Amino acid sequence: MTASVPAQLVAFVGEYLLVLGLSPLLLAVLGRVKARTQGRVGPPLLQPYRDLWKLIGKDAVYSKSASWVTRYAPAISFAALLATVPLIPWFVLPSPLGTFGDLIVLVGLLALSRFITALAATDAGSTFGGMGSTREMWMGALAEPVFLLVIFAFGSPAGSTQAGAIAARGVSLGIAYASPPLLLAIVAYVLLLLVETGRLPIDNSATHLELTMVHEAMVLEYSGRDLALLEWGRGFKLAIMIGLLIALAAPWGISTSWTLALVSLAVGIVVIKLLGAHVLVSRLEAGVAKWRLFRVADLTTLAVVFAFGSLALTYVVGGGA
Amino acid sequence: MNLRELLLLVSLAGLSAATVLGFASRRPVEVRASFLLGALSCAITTVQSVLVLLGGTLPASSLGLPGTVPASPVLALGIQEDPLSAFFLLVVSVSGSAILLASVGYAERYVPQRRGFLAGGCGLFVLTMVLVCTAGTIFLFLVAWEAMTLVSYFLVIHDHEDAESREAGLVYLVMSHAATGAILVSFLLLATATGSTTWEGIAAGAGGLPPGVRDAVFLAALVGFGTKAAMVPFHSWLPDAHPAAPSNVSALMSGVMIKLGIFGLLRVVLGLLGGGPSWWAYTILALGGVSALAGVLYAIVQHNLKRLLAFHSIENIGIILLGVGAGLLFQNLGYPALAALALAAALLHTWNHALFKSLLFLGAGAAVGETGTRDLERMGGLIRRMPGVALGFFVGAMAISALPPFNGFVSEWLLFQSFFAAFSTGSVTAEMTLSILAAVLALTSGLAAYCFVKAFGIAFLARPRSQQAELAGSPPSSLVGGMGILAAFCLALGVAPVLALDLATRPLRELTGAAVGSGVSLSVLSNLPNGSGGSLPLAPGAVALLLGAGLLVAWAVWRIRGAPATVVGPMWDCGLDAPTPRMEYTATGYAQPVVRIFEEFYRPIERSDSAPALRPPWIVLARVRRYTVEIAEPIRAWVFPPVASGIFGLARRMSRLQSGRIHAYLAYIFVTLVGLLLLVRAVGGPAP
Repeated sequence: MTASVPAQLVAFVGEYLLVLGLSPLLLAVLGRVKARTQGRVGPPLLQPYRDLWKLIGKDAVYSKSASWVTRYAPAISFAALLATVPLIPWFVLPSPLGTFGDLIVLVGLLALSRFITALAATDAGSTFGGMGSTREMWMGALAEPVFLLVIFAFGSPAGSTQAGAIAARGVSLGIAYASPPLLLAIVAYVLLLLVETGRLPIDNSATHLELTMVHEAMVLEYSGRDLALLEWGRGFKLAIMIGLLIALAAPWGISTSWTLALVSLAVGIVVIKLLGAHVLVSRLEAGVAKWRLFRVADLTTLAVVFAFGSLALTYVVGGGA
Repeated sequence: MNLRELLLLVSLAGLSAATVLGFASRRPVEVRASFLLGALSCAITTVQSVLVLLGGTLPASSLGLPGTVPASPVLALGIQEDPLSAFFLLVVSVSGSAILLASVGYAERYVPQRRGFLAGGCGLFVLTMVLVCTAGTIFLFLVAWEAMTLVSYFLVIHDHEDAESREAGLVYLVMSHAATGAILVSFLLLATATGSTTWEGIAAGAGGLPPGVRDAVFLAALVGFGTKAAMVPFHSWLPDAHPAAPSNVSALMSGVMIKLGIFGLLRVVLGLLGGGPSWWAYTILALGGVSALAGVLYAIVQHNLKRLLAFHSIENIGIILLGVGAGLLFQNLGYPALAALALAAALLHTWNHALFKSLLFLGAGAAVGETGTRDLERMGGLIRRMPGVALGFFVGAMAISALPPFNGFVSEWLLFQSFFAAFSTGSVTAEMTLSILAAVLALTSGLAAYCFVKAFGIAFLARPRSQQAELAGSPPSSLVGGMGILAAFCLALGVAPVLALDLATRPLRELTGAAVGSGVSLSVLSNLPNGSGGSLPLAPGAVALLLGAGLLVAWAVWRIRGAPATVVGPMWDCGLDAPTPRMEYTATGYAQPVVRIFEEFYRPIERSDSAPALRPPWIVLARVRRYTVEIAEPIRAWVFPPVASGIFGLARRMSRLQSGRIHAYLAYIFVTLVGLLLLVRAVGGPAP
């Protein structure tokens, strides 16, 4: 069923409001659950919103040796992440105005965001910036083959690399969608998610020691409203990656009809699923310590094995389902 | 004579005139005129090739020289331009035009006496490349091919005072000639087996050849053209030759000339032989995958900016070969539409690489020329000294890293789509092979992005790392102008690739028999067409629009609480006192994590020692610690010495024939003649 253009536009804007508005809260939930698990109280749930508002009100400070790359990088990175939102079916199918690209475009946009941030990190000439930059690009390069294989693993049964088509197949198949290859692909994706979004055990966003930083080292030079864009972007990158996981692995609940009641219900379901997934990630984080940097390669290799295993299970063992 | 023929003749005449004017020039104004005339002729060639692509083929021999005897194949100096020729002519001419324009200013760093040679050489180089594209017979092709090799050799050793340049030139010359030998073998096999020397004649007769002959032709062509394209393991000449040459020549070689290796391969394998068994496809796929990954891995550890770019050419040739191999595979499996998709990705990436690699080499030329060093560790902060060049290099870096909204992303995306399409063929071998290669391609493009953050960040950003970088002058405006043209193409082909894709699919209608590119919508917001009249899920214009909208949102967030006061202050130094540029992250340090996890591949030789040193003015006993890391190129270490010692051994044995006496040589000639006559008699020979 196709919807009218105004309805599509409303849903389109709704997706943006959902992701942009909810992502600070999701981060707060994540921090809160982690703190509780570790026996602390944790910050209030509205703290990330207050932090962002405070940062946006501050002036912009730049290093003397920095060029235009430093000035425009936060906006370009933010824009690249924003552009990925319509590529994911959040609560309604077919995804509103989402046919302009597929998951490979999403990989490209994430790479663009990483590229410009890493470049800006080398701009001021600080040692820490260079260190964070090389580590981030290194992890990104290792994550990219995993991402492609995961897309192939999820996408090949549906015959499409678009998240919307994959989710539509899941919704129509119902519980029959769950299968051993799907499970392997999900494991690969979760490992990828940890690397791509810089969660523990890969990167500790709460660290205070520069030498162990990855993402934090890259943004050391940033302050004020530029930092706000980067931090907000980081939060909704996590929401995007988790939203994609939900759409690919457990798409049940996404509305396939455009009636207001069903779509509202689907919005409620996706919010609950996002909260639940963030709680799971924070429990995962609370249980591990940060790994040595070079063990990331082990993790991505493992993820490649899982993703390829999923493909092999479908096509070699299953004889081409 | 129609307009297309006239334009081709005009551009050939223009390039010839530019060559003569360059070599004969005495005054700087004549050198400039030569470059500009060459650039103009290239622009005319661009128009002509688009006309041919849209309108159809130029017939064979229609431009035969007056007075030739068409019946004799040796003399029919036939110029032919079919859609495949026209597409590569387009690739050559767009980059060629921008590079020749940029050369106007670039040449001024040489003493006036040397500029004329550079101008004439560049004009002749482009002319021979145009002839390679438009040759309709194997004779004209081989003559043009050999002339192209020789001219580029002399351009490589342009700075011949430098021993490194001479040596690089020699390696290039030897490898190129070995490659031409292989091409000659493949062409002679085809010509003798089919009895024709024109493309059309050979193509008509090649279908009925025995499989053994076809395999031999394929292997000889793969080695010959693969060497020119710098495919691993025949790539060794490239990383030496490109840095040694003047930068505009590097741009012509890396951006344009190596693509003609791909042209030759497509011409022989698809145009003449019409595809082959699946092991051909798997061979090309394997070589492509190895070239792509090995190229980018070596690029990452280079400190020499031009050498770094040279290794990226090997990587991109690998990517193009992946598309060619996938196309052959799909054709073999009986899916012409998928074959056309993969080959369209390969052709589009060929053009894209020609654009962004020329752009990057011109940028490197400006950086190297103005700082006087090729060493990344001695650059830094150039974005202030040459903002236009930095912006151009930035665009090139994004394009080669396959980032939207630039052109490299579109062609790699198409390649991924064609790999993904393997799942609809039902061939498990194809599915698994192409999945693995998709992962390889993804790793390659991730590492390319890594390498270009390093290259741009170390060379252009932060503070100058040496006095040369601090005092770098500003590059000539024509150089920046040439880069601007190429950067505009990179963006245009990234935002609206539909037109380029339409041009790229024209040659494929003949080569694969698929009706591709039909129903192309010119709207920027429509999705890319696929092989069977449907559409692929990518609308690059919409991606660009969304990025633009995202920038507006970011700006709104940035300004929501009023315009900020911008403060410029010192860098945050973590409590250190006044960090110096020597404390910046180095190119070596930047590459270290990759070296670390690919240790088995690189086998780095690390040395670290420390020695006591007296440091004035306080005369304290300090220890100076030195760390060096050296990375040899194993492929070269394994392949080169045995081949070289074999050749020298053979030469020594053959030198016994060289007595130095005339009558002995006359005897050799006599014996050879009698032997040949007997051979001809024995095998039957041509009918009288």
